[in-house]
Amino acid sequence: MDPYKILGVNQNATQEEIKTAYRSLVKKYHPDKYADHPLGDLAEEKMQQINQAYDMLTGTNGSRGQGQYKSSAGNQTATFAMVRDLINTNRIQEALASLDAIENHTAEWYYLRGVCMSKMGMYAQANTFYNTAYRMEPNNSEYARAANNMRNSNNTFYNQRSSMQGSDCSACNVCSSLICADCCCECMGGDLIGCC
Amino acid sequence: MWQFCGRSFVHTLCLYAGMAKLINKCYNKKMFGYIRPQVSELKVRQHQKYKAIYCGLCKSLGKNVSQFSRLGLQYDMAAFAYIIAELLDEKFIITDQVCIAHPLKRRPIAKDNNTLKYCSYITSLLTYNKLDDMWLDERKLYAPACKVLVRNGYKKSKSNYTDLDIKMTNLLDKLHKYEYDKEACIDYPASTTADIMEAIGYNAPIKDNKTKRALATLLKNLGIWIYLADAADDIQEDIKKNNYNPLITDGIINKENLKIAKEVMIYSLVQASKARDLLPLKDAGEFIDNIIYLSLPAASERIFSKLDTNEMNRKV
Repeated sequence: MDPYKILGVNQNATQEEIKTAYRSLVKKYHPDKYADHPLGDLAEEKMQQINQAYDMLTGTNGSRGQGQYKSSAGNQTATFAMVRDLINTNRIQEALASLDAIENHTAEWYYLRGVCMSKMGMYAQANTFYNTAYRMEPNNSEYARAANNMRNSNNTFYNQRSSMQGSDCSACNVCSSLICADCCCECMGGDLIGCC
Repeated sequence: MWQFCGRSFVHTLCLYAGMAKLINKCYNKKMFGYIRPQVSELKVRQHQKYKAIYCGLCKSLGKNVSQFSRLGLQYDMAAFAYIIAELLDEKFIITDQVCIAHPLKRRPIAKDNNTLKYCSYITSLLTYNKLDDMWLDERKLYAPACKVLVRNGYKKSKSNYTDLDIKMTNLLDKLHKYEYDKEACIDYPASTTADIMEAIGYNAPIKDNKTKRALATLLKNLGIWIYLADAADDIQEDIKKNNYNPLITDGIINKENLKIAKEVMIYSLVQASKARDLLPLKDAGEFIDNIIYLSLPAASERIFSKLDTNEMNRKV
């Protein structure tokens, strides 16, 4: 394992550069982001690699608890714990079957059902389930995050998108437009910029 | 004798051109051609490679599948080939060649390799199954006519990817069932279409299972986007013809579903970009980012603004 390669920095990078690279990678592969993504386990693996690489390069031995996020509900029953395990190991159909067997539909039931739906790519239904869970227990941070997840990540997506599109009105563009306009004028016999 | 040869040649050419038009007609309507990059934001080298892959795929279809299958060529598959070539660690050898559609001018064309071979088989499977679907859906007469032409190629592809073909047929049957039942929730038909794309990802000749899973997830999310974009794009026409569309209820646009579809479309791109982050891509990474962040959102904006103007015109 080459820690430099994993963090995407070159061999003689300063501590500061390593830190910046590490932070951006953590942001990219954070378990919160992949909470209801079907590739959550792969992201977690990647996160562990990144943490290891960072520890190797900086000499820290940090237990940051980055990958520890699983559930914040304290009083969950054994069945829900089992369902969460099934979801984490990507056995969605089994998870759905055990959820179906439960008759008492609590907020957590709706939330877990939403996670299953989201992992199967049924986002509209997932969102409905999350909202129901959130309405039943508005104080639970896990449900609140899930219920707002779609809107929030869509907003982030738009921000990322506008940062990828080159700005349309830069100084360069203004200059070139002026030069073009000048050329056009000269073709027609006039002049826009006297000096050229 | 010569006269006869000449005439039959002309006939074949006319038939070929006519069928090309028909197959194109099928494609322009349904689900294909959405996945392409925004060329203005590509690097020149990427654009050249993309064009060469497109032409190479056409040649590969002729070589590996059948000449008539070349008519089913799509942009989507060229973009797909661009990505999986990098995952397979395959380089494209690009040379200047002539081709049947452009017999006079030499253009850069990628040489056949495993990537193009896989993509050409998939194209042929999709073409045939899609034509089947067209016939069952709308009873268009040209669909069985085209099917006869691409049948040979389909048989060849089917023998190579039997499981995939069975999966595709089953999923299309499922989609039909939803259409027949007039399923009101957008999730079911969308995720069924997405499952077809996922299966294509899973059958790619990639050795590493994790990479394959990430690719399949990426394709699945793009599939959700494609289904909903296509549904939104066809609303006006489907209202006129009284076809099934999850965004229509009782002959008018279902505003609630349309709003959800809009959100789900962006969210599927968000999920696709997360899957893309787990793929070991460099150059193709920029290419797929262009598709996810620039081309597809622009396409959905185009579709929805068209819908809005149509609505406004109706009210006035």
